[in-house]
Amino acid sequence: MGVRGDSLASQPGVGSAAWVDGLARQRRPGPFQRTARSRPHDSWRAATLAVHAGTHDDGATGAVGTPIYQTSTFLLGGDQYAAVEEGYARDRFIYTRYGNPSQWAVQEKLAALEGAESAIVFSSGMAAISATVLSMLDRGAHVIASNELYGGTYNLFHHELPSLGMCVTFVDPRDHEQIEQSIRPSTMLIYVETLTNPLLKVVDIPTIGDIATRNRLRLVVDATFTTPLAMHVLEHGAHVVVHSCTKYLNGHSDVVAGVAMGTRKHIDQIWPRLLAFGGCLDPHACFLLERSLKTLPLRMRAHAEGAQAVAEFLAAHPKVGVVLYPGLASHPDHELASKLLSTSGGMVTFAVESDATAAHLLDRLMLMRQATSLGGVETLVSLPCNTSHATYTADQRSRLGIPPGCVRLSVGIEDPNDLIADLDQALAAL
Amino acid sequence: MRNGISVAGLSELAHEVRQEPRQGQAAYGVTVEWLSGTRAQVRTLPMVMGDRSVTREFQWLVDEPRQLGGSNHAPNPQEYLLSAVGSCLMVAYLVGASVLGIQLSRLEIELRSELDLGGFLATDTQAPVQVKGIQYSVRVSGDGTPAQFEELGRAAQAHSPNAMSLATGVPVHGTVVVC
Repeated sequence: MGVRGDSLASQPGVGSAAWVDGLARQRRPGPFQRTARSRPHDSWRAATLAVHAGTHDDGATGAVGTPIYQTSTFLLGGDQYAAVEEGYARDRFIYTRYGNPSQWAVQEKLAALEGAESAIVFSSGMAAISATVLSMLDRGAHVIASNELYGGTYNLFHHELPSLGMCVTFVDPRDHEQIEQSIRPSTMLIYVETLTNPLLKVVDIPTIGDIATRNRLRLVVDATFTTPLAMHVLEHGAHVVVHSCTKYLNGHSDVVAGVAMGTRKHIDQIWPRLLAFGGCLDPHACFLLERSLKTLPLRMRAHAEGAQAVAEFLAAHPKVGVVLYPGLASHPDHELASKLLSTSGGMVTFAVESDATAAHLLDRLMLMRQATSLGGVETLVSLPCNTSHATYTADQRSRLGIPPGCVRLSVGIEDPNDLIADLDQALAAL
Repeated sequence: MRNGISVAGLSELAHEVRQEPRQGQAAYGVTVEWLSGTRAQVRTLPMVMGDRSVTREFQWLVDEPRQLGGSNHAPNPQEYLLSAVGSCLMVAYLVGASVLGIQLSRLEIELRSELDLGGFLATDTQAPVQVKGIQYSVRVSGDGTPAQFEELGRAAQAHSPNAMSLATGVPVHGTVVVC
């Protein structure tokens, strides 16, 4: 029986060195299972990585594809005990909250797609975000965060961090001067999302990465809306990228999951928080996520094609006001989007006459599903006024730039003509 | 983890610093604010560790005993000096023991020093201002051999930044800002 874990993970050499300089262990990407079948080749492109990276066949039966390791615990021996005692337990299978082959398989696939050394999957996007953020902050820390954050992240920052002796300044993520001016001696972290919700403003990650580097700050980026396929934010100064895998990465509206990715150094700092806070991903959910990821490039292409067609239809419709889609030339950030993003994604925001009109529109849609969340194969439609921004007044929404009658579409992978027909009949009935 | 410290993590840090020396550069600071009499409030400043800034939200009081004009409300500067040396030695001893794979069950360092106030008061031109050296003893038990514990004591002092700062006498420079 070989190593039950990452076979390339070296031991530090306890007992064979006189001082720290004689220790042998270095950080390396992983932990991975290192099967010949699962290691991505350097030349593989995203569609190939999506199918093969991390996935391995079952050695005992020859079954193609990663088995589901539905277990909570693993056999222990001298190797596992040494790993715990000497501090490299993340490289061994010990207990499923620590690590499980089903988690490792999907983590390796996600890391390959993101161009990251290491990844940890979590039981939700918020579990990934909270563990990541708290791994980077100390008591008294100050955070600079986007003022257009996902509501769950806003709640973490606004309601929970102050209880832990930390504080947050919310800034316009497009106002780089405001970001610089908000930096204090106690600032430790900048936190932004690649695209804002629901206005789909494109955040200039390379510029914010430069600000973080110059000021010795950490930068965490939530890239849920853009996925690893549109941009590798780690190449632009982000230290850790987080995704809600519930959205595009899983893409079938049937799993809740999250992931944090970055260098081995940074992800190893998050791992103890996974252990402490407990948000590990169940092996069966890992299987579903890994299976879904195999079609991510195909799905994202369909999402983007559908969104472009729907956005162009809406932009030409007399009952529709503003239409926001980064792929439209009329989008205020179209130029930046063209520079940073290789795909414009599947989110489209538009406005009709009023919030009441928008509610009528949703009731008349036959095909599109009225539900929160996004990134699934089915088109979902929701109103910021009664979902993500329901706690704001109409005036406050207006000040944030959210127009009355604002509708958010997560365009699925259906035939765009059917989506357009659905919107056409619903708009005609208004 | 043995002794509550990750030797794997130490090893990774050593290799990282060897490959990228910048990651081993640390910068610290404290402010000492006079409160009243001999009493002062110390606050840590954010520190820099490699490529990142780290918040250090800690503060403590310093005072002198009544016999030296204070209220005896907090340790005095010499006691902080000894604790700074002793706690630094302790980290070094703990690291060295963990590298050797020794499980410690007890580790205690007692430090003593003496001071001739004649130097501070300038009543005796022959009296040194500085403390008359520092003596310490390490009380240790665990699964190491006496020879290992002895050698660890030497290694701990040789690798302790605070002990070596005093042993070698680092320069101390100050400026005054009138505000």
